[in-house]
Amino acid sequence: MKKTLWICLLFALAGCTNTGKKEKLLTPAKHKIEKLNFFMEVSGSMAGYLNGSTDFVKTIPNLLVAIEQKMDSGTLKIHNYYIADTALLFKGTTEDFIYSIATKHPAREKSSEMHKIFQMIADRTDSDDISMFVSDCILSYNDEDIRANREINREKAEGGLKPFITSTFSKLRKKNDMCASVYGFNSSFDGTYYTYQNGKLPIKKGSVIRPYYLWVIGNKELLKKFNAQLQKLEPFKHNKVAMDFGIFDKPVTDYTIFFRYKKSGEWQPEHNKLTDAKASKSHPAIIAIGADLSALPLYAQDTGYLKKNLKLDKSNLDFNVVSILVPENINKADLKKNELDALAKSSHIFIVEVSDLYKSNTEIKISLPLQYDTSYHNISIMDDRDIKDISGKTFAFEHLVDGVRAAYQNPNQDFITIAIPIKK
Amino acid sequence: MFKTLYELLAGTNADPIYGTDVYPAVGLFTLLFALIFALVFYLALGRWKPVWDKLIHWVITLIVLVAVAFYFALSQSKGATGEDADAFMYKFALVNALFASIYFIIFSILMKRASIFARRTPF
Amino acid sequence: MTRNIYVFGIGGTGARVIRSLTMLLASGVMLPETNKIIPVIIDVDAKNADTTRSLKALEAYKLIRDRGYGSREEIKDGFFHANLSTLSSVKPLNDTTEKVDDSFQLQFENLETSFIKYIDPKEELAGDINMDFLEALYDNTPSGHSNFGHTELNLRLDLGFKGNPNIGCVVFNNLASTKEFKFVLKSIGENDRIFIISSIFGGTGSSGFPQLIRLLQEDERIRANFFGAVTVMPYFNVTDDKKSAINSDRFNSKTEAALTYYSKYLKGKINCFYQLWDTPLKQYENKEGGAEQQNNAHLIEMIGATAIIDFANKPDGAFKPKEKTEYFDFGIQHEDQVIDTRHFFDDTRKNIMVPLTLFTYAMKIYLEKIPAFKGEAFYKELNLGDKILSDPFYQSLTAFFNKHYKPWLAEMTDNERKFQPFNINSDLNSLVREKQIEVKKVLGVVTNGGITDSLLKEKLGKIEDELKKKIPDNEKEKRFLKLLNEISLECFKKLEDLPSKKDW
Repeated sequence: MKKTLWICLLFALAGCTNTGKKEKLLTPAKHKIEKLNFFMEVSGSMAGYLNGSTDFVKTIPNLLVAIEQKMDSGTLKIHNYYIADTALLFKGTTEDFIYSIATKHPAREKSSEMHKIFQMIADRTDSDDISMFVSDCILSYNDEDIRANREINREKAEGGLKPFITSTFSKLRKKNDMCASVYGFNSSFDGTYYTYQNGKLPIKKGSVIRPYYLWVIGNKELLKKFNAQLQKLEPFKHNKVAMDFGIFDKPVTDYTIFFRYKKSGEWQPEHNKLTDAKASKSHPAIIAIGADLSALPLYAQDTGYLKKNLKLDKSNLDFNVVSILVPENINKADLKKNELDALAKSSHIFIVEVSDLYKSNTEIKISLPLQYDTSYHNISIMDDRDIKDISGKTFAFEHLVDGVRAAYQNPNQDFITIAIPIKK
Repeated sequence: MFKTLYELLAGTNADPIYGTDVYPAVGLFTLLFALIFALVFYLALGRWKPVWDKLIHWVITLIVLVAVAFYFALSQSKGATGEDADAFMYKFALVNALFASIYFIIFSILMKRASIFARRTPF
Repeated sequence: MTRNIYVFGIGGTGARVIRSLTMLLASGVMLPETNKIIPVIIDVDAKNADTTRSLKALEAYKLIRDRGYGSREEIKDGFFHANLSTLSSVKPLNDTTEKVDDSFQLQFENLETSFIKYIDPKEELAGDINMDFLEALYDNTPSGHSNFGHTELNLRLDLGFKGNPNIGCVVFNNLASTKEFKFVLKSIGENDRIFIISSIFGGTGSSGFPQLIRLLQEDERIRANFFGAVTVMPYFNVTDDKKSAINSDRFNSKTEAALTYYSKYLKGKINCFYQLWDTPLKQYENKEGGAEQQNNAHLIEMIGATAIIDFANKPDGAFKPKEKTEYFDFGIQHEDQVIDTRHFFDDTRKNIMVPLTLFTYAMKIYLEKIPAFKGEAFYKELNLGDKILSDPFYQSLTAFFNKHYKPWLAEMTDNERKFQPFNINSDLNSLVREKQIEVKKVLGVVTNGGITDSLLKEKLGKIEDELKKKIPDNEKEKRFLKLLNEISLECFKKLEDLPSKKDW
């Protein structure tokens, strides 16, 4: 009897142990890209990009090949579509597709309605797909509506087309938390440009720079990963525009403290707080703090931008962000094994130097105010009838972007609000 | 609470994993091992047959427990930090061995009255 | 437990049977309905070594019992449970202030003299007609003759009657005047039983027995109580020694004379008359008495003690009236030179041999094993380390085993006919003669080693642990006695049963 009692006791105790006081970060279920789709707009206005050896012709095929080779270790095949009035799946490999673009002159469809194209793309993008879309992104009503009212594009772009865009992207967001990124490239153009009134403007090769855009749409987490890999590909690197929609939705508040890397002075890390801290001008406390800023727009991830725009709350203590490092620049041999785990979770490492604590129990507060990149307004134009005006600009682009942005309702928050408790 | 005890004698270590993982696990399991050893010695063996109940047996049991406690602390530290054994880990292991022997002595005093053959061990 | 039993042991035989009785009671033989057993040794031979030995055994028993159980509660079973008491412990019916000595012996007065001087201390009878009468009755070889010291009138009385019952009768009569005897008469209660042990061939016994009956039954009150007696007929010879007044050739003739006397004068006076004899096989050294008359214990004496047990346990309804005296003999299954447990019938086996076996196990364990277990927890819990060598209880117990029980067993083994139920000097598995506890092995590994040291240690530990719950620490001696009892029972379990034989 006594023997069974203590055996039960043993098991009970064994079961209770290590209930895990600290919560392990839940790694999301291994989320993988299911399928890659590529939609190329083939309305008449796109023909000019395909003539001759434009940047478009050089970039897009190489990009497709690079994606197939390198994205997710080359495991993904792209499903290619021509899209204008309808979406047409191209039967064949990506290599065949590229050959077809080069030789077959596919772009001869009627003018396409951008908002409807986005809808078609959205319909063909499954929950774990990434869809890419290349287009000149000129918002327009259809030919008939323009014939009926020549000014309709100018008048109704903001009020009529933009809400449509918003609605399409709202549905995408609801589908599986799907977001969008857009990257803009400049290319030479040899062909006909259609104005907002559907007038034709012939453009001779080399005379005008025409922007084209690559949209990437997909689930937020997959999109982040995709973008991270995309930005490393050679054919991609010369983009002029880069914007995210929906990827950033709440400020970065999480951080990890590196318990030994670059440590100086006296302090102890305890459950993401700093305790037993002593700081003075002669003996400051130096702490390496890691944070994951990958959700931020690219410009906000730039260390130069960060250094310039980070706000430090010095009301209760005196501190400075001495430098900001990225994982690629860190010598892994300097880190202990547990710190390597912290490094894997961080996209940036802030080296913070505390030189005085006014209160014995306070916080190191670092914040980055939300600033929209509004430069896209500069490449938007509402009257494209004169050839002199249109170089490097896209008609009604600001409304298109605003339309997408409205679907993601970025609240007026900071990009980063990190508060690290510190006490003496 | 184990953290305070260990840090009192072994000192602090920069890696916070000690405080979050190592000290609680090692502390609890060491206490548990000491309890089990005492239970087996006094209640299981000590009430069954007088084969392992004298002072010498108790001392051997204590030595085994101490060895287990030392090795356990060391291996847990190595596992949690991913590092090789360093001076701090050895110090921690020794401290843990000390605690194990203290637990065992206390449990011995508490349990011996419930034993038949080991009732007068160690005194 | 309503009645007491007074056991009078007359002479050397009486003392020796009482010695055996003491051993039986020490081993825990049951007397369920008896409250106290009051042994009274009556012997004029004050220095008789047998008597001295028996008295010492009784005293040791008493001390052990008092210290072990205290005198408060009724103890129903276990070693030393029977209440062997002295006369002084009995409260007489009409409470007189006169106290008696706390002794098991009844002393005569004025015996340090010769017979003639006893009768006529002031030598007033010289020349008197009564003197002539005396000289006619008794041998009166005058002083100066080489036989002087042995003539009857000139016998020294304090050395016993040397086989002369004719002298004994006279002296015994004066017993009635002793303070102790008066006390006895007053103490005997309505339900109390009386038992008398004597030998038929000796001097003291054969004369004292009928005298005692007569003296006791002079009191009307006592006459109605149940009376039992055992008379032991010749079972040994003495060597020829012309210098001694004792002559075993004359034993038989004396037996005849005594039996004739009894048949006449004891008619209707006794309820149960037990009779014992055995073919004399052994010759003892011819010692006339005194400190040198120490005979080895004999089986017959033990059987005599079982008569007392039988008498004490008889239910009231089983007695016949004294007019129809019942006579009892004792038989064994088979005649042998060496008697052991197998020779007895079932009642004796169950009531006598089982307790003796348990007691013998206890003795071996106490004397040989327990001292070797001084590292064990139970030893320390009972504080034996300090006490075994210094505490009177343990000392008495050791003395009882070493100086009384063991020699008693050894003497009976040495005697003729031999009684050897135990192999005292063997190991515990071989202790009971003709029943060896086998050591069982399976493929060379011992599965059941019988009574091994490790079994003993284990059982002693567990028993002490159990007993500790019921018997508190201030009664450690009681716990120890119970421990001995329990451990001997464990040994008996290994033995399974007493040895027996069906086909003799």
